[in-house]
Amino acid sequence: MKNHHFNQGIIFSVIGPIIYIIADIYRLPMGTFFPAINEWHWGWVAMSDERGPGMYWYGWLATASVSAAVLSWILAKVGASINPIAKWLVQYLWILPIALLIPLVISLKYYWR
Amino acid sequence: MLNWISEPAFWTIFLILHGLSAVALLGALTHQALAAFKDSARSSPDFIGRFTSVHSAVYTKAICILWIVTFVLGGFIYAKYRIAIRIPLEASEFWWTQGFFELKENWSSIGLLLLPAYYCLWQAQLNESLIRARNYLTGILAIICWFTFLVGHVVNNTRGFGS
Repeated sequence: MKNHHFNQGIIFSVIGPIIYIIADIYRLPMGTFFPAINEWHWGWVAMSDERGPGMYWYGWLATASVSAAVLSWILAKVGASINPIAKWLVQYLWILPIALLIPLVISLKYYWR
Repeated sequence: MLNWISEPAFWTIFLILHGLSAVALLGALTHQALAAFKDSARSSPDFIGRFTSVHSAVYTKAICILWIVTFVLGGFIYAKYRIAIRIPLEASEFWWTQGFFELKENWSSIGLLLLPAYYCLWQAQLNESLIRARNYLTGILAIICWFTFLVGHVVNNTRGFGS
């Protein structure tokens, strides 16, 4: 596997989950889906009596995927200098999903009752 | 397709497909994770020894494809869930069930976003410290998979098939 692809894959997986959590907490979905009326809207749109409940999960995922893809592509283009950073980051990548559980659980505090 | 079968049957088919692909993913990922952590110097001919003596790397592509397929199927039925399941769950005050479902949905998304690194690590030639990192990442993906599977199972028991 080429260094460029290796670096891009690692950086995507470091940045993507962090952006996902930020998009969730700070209401930054790329779009909102209203399943009751089968309608998409750009960005975060509040639910209403006419539209029904909104779904932001697809939008958070789109925000995270697109941003991480662009950023990792740019950073991997920087060249070989990013390689040691990617190799250092990947050693601790397994901690990321555990660490992100903390803001996730806090963001869902409405349900813990 | 809805001209041929009823709407409940349509969603049930996709729910079952989602469940089946999750079972396949769970099996493959558990197999790979246990084999990755196995002490290669201690292989035994018993069930555990044989279960963990598979060549782990060959599972990688299948696991990535199965994660994506399971995720897409889950994402598809999620729109129906939002209306037909979540609203009655909240009305019945199943707060913890719904909270764990939200956690599952978010944690499986994080797992999806970790797949590029997971794939790269299983494809590259690695030194000892990166092999450890690869095994830990595989282990945490297996934990995410088990968690999401069990939560999905409980939610389905609470208000799923036939409700």
